[in-house]
Order: sequence, then structure tokens, then C-alpha cells
Amino acid sequence: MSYYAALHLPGLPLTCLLARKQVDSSLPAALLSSGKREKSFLLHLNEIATRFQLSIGMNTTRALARCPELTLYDADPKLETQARAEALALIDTFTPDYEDTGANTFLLDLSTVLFASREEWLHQALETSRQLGLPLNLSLADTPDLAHLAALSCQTSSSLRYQPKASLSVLSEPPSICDLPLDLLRRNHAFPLPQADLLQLWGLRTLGDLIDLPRQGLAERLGPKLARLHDVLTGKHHRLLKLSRPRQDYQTSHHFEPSVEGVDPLLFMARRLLQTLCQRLASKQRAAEALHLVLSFENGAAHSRQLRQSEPTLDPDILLRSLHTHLDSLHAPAPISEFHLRLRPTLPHQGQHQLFQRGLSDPHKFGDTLKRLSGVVGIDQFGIPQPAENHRPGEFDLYPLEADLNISTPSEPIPAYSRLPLKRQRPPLVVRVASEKRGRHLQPLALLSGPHQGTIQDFRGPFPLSGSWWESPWQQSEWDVALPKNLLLQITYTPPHDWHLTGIYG
Amino acid sequence: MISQLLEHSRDLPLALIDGRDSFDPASYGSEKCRRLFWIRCREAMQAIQCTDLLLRDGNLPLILLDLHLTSARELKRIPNAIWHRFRTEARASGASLLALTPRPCLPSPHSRFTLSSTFTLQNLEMAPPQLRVTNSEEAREVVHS
Repeated sequence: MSYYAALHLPGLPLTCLLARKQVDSSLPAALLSSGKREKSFLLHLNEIATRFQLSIGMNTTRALARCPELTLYDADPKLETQARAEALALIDTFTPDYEDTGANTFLLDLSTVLFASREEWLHQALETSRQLGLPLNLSLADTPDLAHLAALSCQTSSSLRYQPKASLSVLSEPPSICDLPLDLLRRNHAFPLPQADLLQLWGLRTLGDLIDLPRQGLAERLGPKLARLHDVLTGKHHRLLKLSRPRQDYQTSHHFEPSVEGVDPLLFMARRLLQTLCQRLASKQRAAEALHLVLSFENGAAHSRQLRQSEPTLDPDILLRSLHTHLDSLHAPAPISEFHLRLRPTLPHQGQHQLFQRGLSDPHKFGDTLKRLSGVVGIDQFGIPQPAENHRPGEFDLYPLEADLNISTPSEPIPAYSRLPLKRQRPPLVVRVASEKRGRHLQPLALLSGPHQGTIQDFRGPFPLSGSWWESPWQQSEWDVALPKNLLLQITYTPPHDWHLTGIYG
Repeated sequence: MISQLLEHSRDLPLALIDGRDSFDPASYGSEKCRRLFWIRCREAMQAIQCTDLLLRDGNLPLILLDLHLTSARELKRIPNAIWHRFRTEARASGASLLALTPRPCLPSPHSRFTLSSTFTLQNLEMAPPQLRVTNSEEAREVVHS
């Protein structure tokens, strides 16, 4: 069953002013319309002011006559915009699917949010909303409009109040809108009721009275609009939300107070924030291809790292695992005071796997393993080897192994260098060799030092090699030599008098 | 042996953990090397750590740990518990581990083969050698010929 929540910030233009200026909430206060003071009227009132028979729309002079202690404020659009932005950021942590209905009301689609019970969600949401520092009403219902109506009154909604003292009340039962006054619709533009006066003449006082009237008769006498309103009130009309998508960035921050020294609290918060960011990405049909992490330390230092994923993902656990791997190897110079996470969006991976071809079962895990391998041997010490496209012995290129197993190696195949594989000595070992000059070359006779010593019984060579004459020229002669006990070695002579053991065949 | 393993085309590359950084790509050619994931280690303990990571990962089905050129003293430093752990990890992940050592040192492998070879300089010009089982009853000894 899908639930909808409505969050209503009553009198936001005034309450945000009072909250930011930390005005004593026991004093009557009102927000004035713009223009000259003599012609201005009251736009919003706080709860204390309503006790002095003041009402919205009243002339300022009359209001002051009724309540001389009334404090009058001019609207501050900047402050109001900021408060709305903070409220939207808060709502975004509840769910990415919400509608900015207007008149300081927001409708939230909770169909993708898991919660154990209504009370638990309401309580948790109100506790989280304390950070706004503004009074608010929160209600849950089966349709968006019923939730909206319930949130307009604190009798039918759970609420957060700061006057006379900070309090939080949660309704344990689903709200019934029947007792709400009909005037509520007159004041709210979301539910237009042009025949309100006529209905009051008929003796209707509450929404319950309107619900009790037969729908067919209402439609015939007062038109289809009222019949539609009847459907809304009885929960038969279930409209779609016009989802707000104001945020295009996929980043979030958290400030630790006090600073943390271990990884666990950071991972705990990161898990929660990544979940929100992934939901935000999912709502845009995108996936994360990289996670950018910025850590701020208490001593003013900062650490920044981009963690590229093996393939685009929307799973917060996978992103958290790569973050965990990185943090494990990080040495923090001071306690962490703040961290910032940003996901780089991309299109989700769409691949058609071959029927008879096996791929990596878990590319993300393999990507994680590659990062750990780079921590053990070094980032450039593993990959797909390919012989280099030159004649210098021992040279090769290493290509990274991607999670999709696509290897971008040279298209022209390079044949094997020898029939017997060589176990190469890296770096070549300097050896002393007894030799004699025959013709233009020195011929080896015996190995006098190194791990394999003895008289050379047979040999092939020399194979003179040279290259790179245009930049850093090199020149050497290779010899394949056989020692006792069927030991086949490759040795090289580099003029003028260096001999090296370069490898063992077999 | 590596050459023979690389001859068979497979979907996933063979993981070669090179304990002495002695693998020579030029000896095998570019086509065979495409089927190889080479990890260059400088010492035995590095190779052991890499094997542990790949076995736990389980994405690559065949892992070849080449400790052929590792000295006996260094091999003795590897505790037996490591090999038991590798066996458990391989069982859990479904990967196979092939360890090349200069002498028998794995405590309880599934199968143990002794490789022996006799090459001369003439082999450098002949067809590449093939593995051949000489003791077919127990399939214990494999000879390069």
C-alpha cells in the first residue's frame, strides 16, 4: 500500500523571521504587507497574536489598537527563500519523490520508502525536522490530497511546535478530516470552493457535512467541480504528484561535532548519505561511475580522492565498500571534522552478454580486489602483458584489465620470441665470464660467478642486437649457452666488457 | 606449462602470480598473453598476499602461483596454515590454485605433479615442448618433451 505524506510549514514567512532573529515566542508578532505602513495589513500572525482577536488581512492601525504590544515585521524574501531551501533539502533526505504544492506545503511520495509503522516514520521525520527550527505539521494518508488537507490543521496532523515550549506530538491513528471546518477550503487555493457561501447557507460547517451529501446530487446542482472535490474528500480521487526535481547535483556533506578519529562513524554516516544520493540518481535514471571523497581534518588539512567504479552502479553497498577499502589504507594526520561525498553520474551500464561466454561474476568485487592488489605490489605491476613493438629484449607493455574484459592491445599479433620460454632475470645479473676473441666477437667459455657457474658445453650465438640510435642507443650480443646438468641460459655481452645473465630457458 | 595453459582459449584470463617477476611476455607472443593476467611480485610473501586476494575474490577461475625460482629458505618461511587457508578459500570461491614450487612444500594439495624436463640447445629451434604424463597409473609425473 502506498502512503503519501504532507509537510506544511504554517506561516513560514513569519516563523522563519522569528526563528532567525530568536524573538521571544511569548510575544505577539505579525508580518506586514509591503507598502506604506498606514495602508498595510497583516499577512501572518503568530499563535499569541491570534488570542488578541487579530486576524489575517486586518489593517495595521486596527491591529495595533487591539494589541499595542504587537511587534510588526516586514517580510524578508531572502530569509524565506533560504528557509524553503533548507526545508527542501530536509525533504530530499526523506524521499527524492516530492511535490512542491505551494503555500509552504510539500507532498511526499513514500511508496519507495520502507518503514515499520506510521508512528515510527512520523516520529523519526519530526525528530529529523528539528534541525529546521521551524514549527511544522506532518501527516500521512492514502492519497496526496487527503494528506495535504490533514496537514493544514494541527488537530489532524502530527506536529512540531516551539511555543510555549518545544514539543513534538505524533498522531497514533490515521487522521480524519471530517471535523475540519469548511472555511479551511476557502483559505486554501489548492482546493477551490466557489460555492462556499451557498454551502454555509445550507448549514454545512465541516468537511464531514460535505462528505455526507450525495455525490450525484452535488454534481447535478453545483457542477462537476464540486463532485470532484467530493471524490477528493472521500479518497476516491488519487492524483499524480508533479514531482519537483530542483537539485541536479549529487553531492552531500556531513560535519562531525566533535571530530572523529576512527573509520566506523564516518562509514556509518556515509552509508546513509550514499543511500540518499543513489536514490537521487535512480530518480534521474542515472548511475554512479565514480565517487569523489573530500575529507577535512581538524588541523586544516584536507584529503581528496576520486574512487572510480568498475562499472556504473546504484548500489550504496558497493560504493561504501570501495570507500571502506580506500579509508583502510589512509593515514589521517588529525581527527576528521567534515567529509564531502559527490557521485559522478553516467548512464547505467547496459550490456548484452553472450550466451556461451562467461564474464566476471562480480565486476565490482574484482575492481575492489584490483585496488587491494595495487596496494600490495603497486599500481603498475599487474595487467595484461603484451610484447613491446620493438626489438629490445625484455621490453613489454602492461594493459589494465577492465571489468568488462575488453583489452585494448595492438591489433597486429606479435609472434613468440623463442620456442622455449625464458625465465627472465630482472634486473639482469652481472656475471664474470671467461671468454676469448674469435673474429669480431667475444665467445664465452665459462661462467665464473653468479648462481649458475660452470664450463659452457654448447652455445648458440652471437645474436647482435642494437636500436634507438636516434635517442639513447643500445647495443648487445645475446648468447644461448648450455651448462652441465642440462641448464640452458641466456647471457648477453654489452660492449666494452659487461656480461649479464638475462634468463634461464625451460 | 604456462604456455600450455595459455594455448586453450577461455573466457576469463589465467591469473599468473609471478613470485620472482621472471615471466617473459616475448617468449609467448601477443595472442597467448591476451589470456593472461600477470601480477609481478618481488618476493614470496607479496605473491602469497596476492594469491590470498584473488582466491577470496573468486572472479578468476584459475590462479597460477609461480614460486619456481623462489629460494628454499624463503619457501620455508611460508607457514603451512597459509596453504590450508588457500585450500579453504579456493573451495569457497570455486577457484583453482596451481602452485609451482621447486620442491614439494604444499601440505595437502588435491593433486601433486612432478615436472621434469631435459632440454638442449636444439630445442630452441624445434617445435614448442608439450606436457606428457609418463606414469599413467598414478598420473604423478609430467614431463616436458
